[in-house]
Amino acid sequence: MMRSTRDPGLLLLYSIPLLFYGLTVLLPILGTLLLSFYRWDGIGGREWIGLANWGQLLRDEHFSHALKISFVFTLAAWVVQTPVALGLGIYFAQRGLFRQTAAVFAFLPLLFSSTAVGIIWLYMLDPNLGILYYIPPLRGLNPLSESFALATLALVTSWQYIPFHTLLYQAAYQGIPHELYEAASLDGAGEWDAFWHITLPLLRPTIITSSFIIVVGSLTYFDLIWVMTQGGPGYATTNLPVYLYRLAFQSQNVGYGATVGAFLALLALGLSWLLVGRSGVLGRRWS
Amino acid sequence: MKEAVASVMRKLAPFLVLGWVVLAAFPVYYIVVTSLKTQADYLKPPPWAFPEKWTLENYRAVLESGFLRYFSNSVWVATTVAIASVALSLLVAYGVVRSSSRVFRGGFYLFILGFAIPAQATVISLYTLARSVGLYDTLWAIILPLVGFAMPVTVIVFSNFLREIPPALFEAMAIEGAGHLTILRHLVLPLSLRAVLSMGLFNFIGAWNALLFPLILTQSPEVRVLPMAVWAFTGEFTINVPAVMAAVTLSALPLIVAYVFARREILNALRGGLV
Repeated sequence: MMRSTRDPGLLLLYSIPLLFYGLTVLLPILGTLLLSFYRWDGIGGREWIGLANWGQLLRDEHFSHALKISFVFTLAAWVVQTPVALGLGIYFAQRGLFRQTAAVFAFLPLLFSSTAVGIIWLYMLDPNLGILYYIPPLRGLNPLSESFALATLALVTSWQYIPFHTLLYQAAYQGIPHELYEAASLDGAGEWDAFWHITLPLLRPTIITSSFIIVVGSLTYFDLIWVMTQGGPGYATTNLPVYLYRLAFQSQNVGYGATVGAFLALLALGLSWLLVGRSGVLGRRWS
Repeated sequence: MKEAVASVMRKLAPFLVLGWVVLAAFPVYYIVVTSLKTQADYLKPPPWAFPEKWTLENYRAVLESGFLRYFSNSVWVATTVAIASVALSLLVAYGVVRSSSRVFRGGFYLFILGFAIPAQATVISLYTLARSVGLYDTLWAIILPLVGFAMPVTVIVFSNFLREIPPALFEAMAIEGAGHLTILRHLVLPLSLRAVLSMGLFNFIGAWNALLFPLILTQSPEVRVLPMAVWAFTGEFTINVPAVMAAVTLSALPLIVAYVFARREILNALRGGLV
């Protein structure tokens, strides 16, 4: 083992992918941070303005609004996806003809890109030609109007990602030794107790992993929002990624857009540390 | 009382699941049926009705609008991303497992860092980089960062996998004079084939579906990939919704076909090495 510390061949093999990674990932990360100290319209010269962009973040109400949108969106996505995926995962983890057949169709949303999902629902929810007309309580509703757009996007996102989290729970539930339930049942525990005292505690690592993916995923959600609302109406569905896109590519405010990007990177890093680093779930599994 | 709730839940479960199945499958039915309608049929309610006149005209319109070009662009991008990300990540994981040196461990932490930082945060810098090295508006501008951002999770999964290989096996091959490339090819690759295929497929699907990078890093129709093309169709065929649905169906077709024939493998890959 120790010979590899001074193994030029191994070092060379290792440095090729590391160099590639440095140029395509680390450099853009550093570049984002660096750009956040400049005023730049993307065409002319850059002007070093120190922390002025960061100061502007604190006063910018579109920014605090985008942060709020990201937060509400993440919370809504978590509240909808977690219980449904948990239930479906446990259900599909067991044998049976109906379960197996239903599972084939239950995972269908996974096969579509966010772009496709956005387009499909855009037309299905069309106020004139879509399906809502046939659901009496929702008749006449415009799901992408200012008051409903965010909720609609959270529901469509959930539609897209519930199957993925179902897969996680299904695999985790299959890993629980069956004897535990038999032993509990011999001790007189019912299904209710078994769920709360065996299933849920043993699924805890998966719940944390799945929640982590939902939180970081929703924070960085762009494709579907872009296709369905482009952040509108107004700023109603502009989360942080959409906001930085609008700043840099529509308002030519490149330096400030990069500041929002750098903030997003730091936020994701902090959340990852909170959710994963400390609980050590991914640590145990992954390192 | 608690057991009564549990029992009701158990009886109710199949119906709730059936509800989800309908919700999951209906949109798929909707796009396929709509794509086979004439525009006149599309305007006739209800939206889920069979077409009065079945037609493949929409598929013809989409194929004649350069769809094959976009399709082959996507095939090229996704295939290159899948192969390059897996090959590079395997080298990293091999280095991490084979060496106890600080350099390798430090490198590994860089991938953990990259795992936590979302690609979306860096797009502005990526755009300026692509401009300055002259790659803007080429397929390479999409491929290179897609490979890079696919690496962290792939490296983490591979490292776990390679740690399961007993070090004695590496040592034995090394003593017999095998170089690293030989060990990689004849020991590591065969033993980790399942993880390699799984992560390759995972990264392929990720690249196939990506919209943000192409949106920011390309603009010409010649380098359009499928998500961009499908989105562009909604603008081109504003009133021809069946044609848009034909484009959506065609763009998802490879994955749907793969799902029909290799459901287990596809679902495994989509889990992306988790669990």
